[in-house]
Amino acid sequence: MRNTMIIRTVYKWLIKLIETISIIGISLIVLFTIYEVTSRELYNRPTIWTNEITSYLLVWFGMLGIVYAFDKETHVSVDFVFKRLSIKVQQVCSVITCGLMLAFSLLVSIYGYKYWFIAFKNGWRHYGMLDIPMSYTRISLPIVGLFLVFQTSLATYDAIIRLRQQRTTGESAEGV
Amino acid sequence: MAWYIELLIVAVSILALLAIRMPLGFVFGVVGTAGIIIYSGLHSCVVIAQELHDMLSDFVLITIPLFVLMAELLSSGGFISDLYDSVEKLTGRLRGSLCIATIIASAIFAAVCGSSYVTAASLGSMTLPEMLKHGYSKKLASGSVAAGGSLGILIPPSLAFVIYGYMSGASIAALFIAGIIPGLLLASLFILNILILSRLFPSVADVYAQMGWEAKLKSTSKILPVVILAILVLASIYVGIATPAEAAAIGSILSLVLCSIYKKLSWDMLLRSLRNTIAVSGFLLLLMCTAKILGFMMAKVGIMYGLQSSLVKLPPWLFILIVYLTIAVLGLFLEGTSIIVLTTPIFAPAVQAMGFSLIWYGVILVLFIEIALLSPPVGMNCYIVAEIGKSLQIGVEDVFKGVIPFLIALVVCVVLITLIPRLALWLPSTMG
Repeated sequence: MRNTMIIRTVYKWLIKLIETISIIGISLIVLFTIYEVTSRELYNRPTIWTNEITSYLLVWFGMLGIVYAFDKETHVSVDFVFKRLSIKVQQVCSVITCGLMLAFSLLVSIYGYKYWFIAFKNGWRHYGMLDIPMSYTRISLPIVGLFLVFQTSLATYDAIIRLRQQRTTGESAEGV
Repeated sequence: MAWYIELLIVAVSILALLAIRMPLGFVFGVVGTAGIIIYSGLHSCVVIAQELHDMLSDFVLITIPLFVLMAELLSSGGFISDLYDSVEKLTGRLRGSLCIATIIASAIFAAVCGSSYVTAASLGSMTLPEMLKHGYSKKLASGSVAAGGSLGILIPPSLAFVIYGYMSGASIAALFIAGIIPGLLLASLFILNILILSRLFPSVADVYAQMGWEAKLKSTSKILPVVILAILVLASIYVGIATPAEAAAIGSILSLVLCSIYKKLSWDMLLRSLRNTIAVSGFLLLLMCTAKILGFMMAKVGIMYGLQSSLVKLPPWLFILIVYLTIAVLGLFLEGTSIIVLTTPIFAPAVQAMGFSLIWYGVILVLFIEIALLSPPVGMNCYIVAEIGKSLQIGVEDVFKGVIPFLIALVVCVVLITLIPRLALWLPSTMG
């Protein structure tokens, strides 16, 4: 019980960290884009770095946004069939859903790591003027993959606990 | 295995996962990944990472979080309530004026907000109590809020157009400009609908208080900031000063300036807007990335080729009919963005091969998504309005019944743009 409390506290702090990094990321994207328009249109001096930097920022912002959206339950799902099912079936379905999402997240982190490692080992760089190493953006995949594994593991654990509780309540009700 | 059997397996898998309430973004990811593993083995899963990374490093996609931020700032800043208040005073003399004001305010707000959910939710919480207080029928009131909200994705800047443009390769700037005339046409059809309904059934809508010209002029000043912002953003795209992504950044900064001038800017409000922007963008970007994984799998397996080569052999009228029916049926089960990301890789190349314009098809697709937003059983806008109207005893059935006349207007609009494609294509053809 205490362990889960600690894990959930760590999780909350991680989400706070993701939120802060994403807020900084989106603010920088706005500022760099505005800087590009003003320097191009007002001073006739287009920059060579803003589009590139904002694209790399978007990789991190987008990946972290996926984790944040999962936490805030913004990922839309359709429930017109689900809500017509019995509670027991709903809970079994939740376990399956969370398990599949966990498997997908694991694949993202494992193959994201491999994808990053190739670029890191070979010292590949992004095409562009800034010559930024590809590993700087690709590293977001295994990191965010692990965040997703953490989230979906917690969701799967909660779904299994709910299912167990339902079974116990169902059995005791039958006994009565 | 024949491509149509493989397509059937993919469709059934998607529907099964949707039925057990898996989030849409993960549904596409899980089905796409499963297909890749079955077809090419586990080692090919590196494609998942590659698709996620390559897609998110595309500069065009910056448009999405920036337009979301602009809408969130204006919505949190309370500009929408000023907007509604002003339009309500201007239309006061007409029967059904509050519903008309809702549609006009939705259309104006849609010009700075690319999302139908935000438009419906922001206006609904304000307009529904007001309309019910003045004796409007629940059905007409809730129907007009849900329908007005759907304008958010047609009138530019529209997130639906950004996503469609990215997936199809059509110019996002041209799509934005193409949405203006159909958007205004649809808003006019909605207003006509309300006028006819309130004339035929006077009990459903009342005449609101009449205002003097001085008061009307005074109230117009409240609409001006949002209207000027919308014009600036669209004009910068139209004359070619800024790309849609840059226009979105300009819009976000100007929204911030407006909030500051009108003393609506606070640290809390700014943080709330930024947080919502991260969450909404995260949802949209995951959906697009995983749809690309699914599209990759369908292309690799041969479903795309089989489907497209069969489609292009059809006579044009049958092709259009099949495309329309497919989108309409998908609209019964899926949310708008998912329909775009799922169907665009399949239909857009076929549309182009058949000699139709991708811009025209984009407008038609968005109109069908508007229909999907209002049709049962999924009809997201209707659920949003029902949720807002819960405290006013408005049920989801009231909303679904209330949107029927507006759905007819939408069908009329689809027919008009199918028969007269220039309604959508004329403005983009004049672009600088």
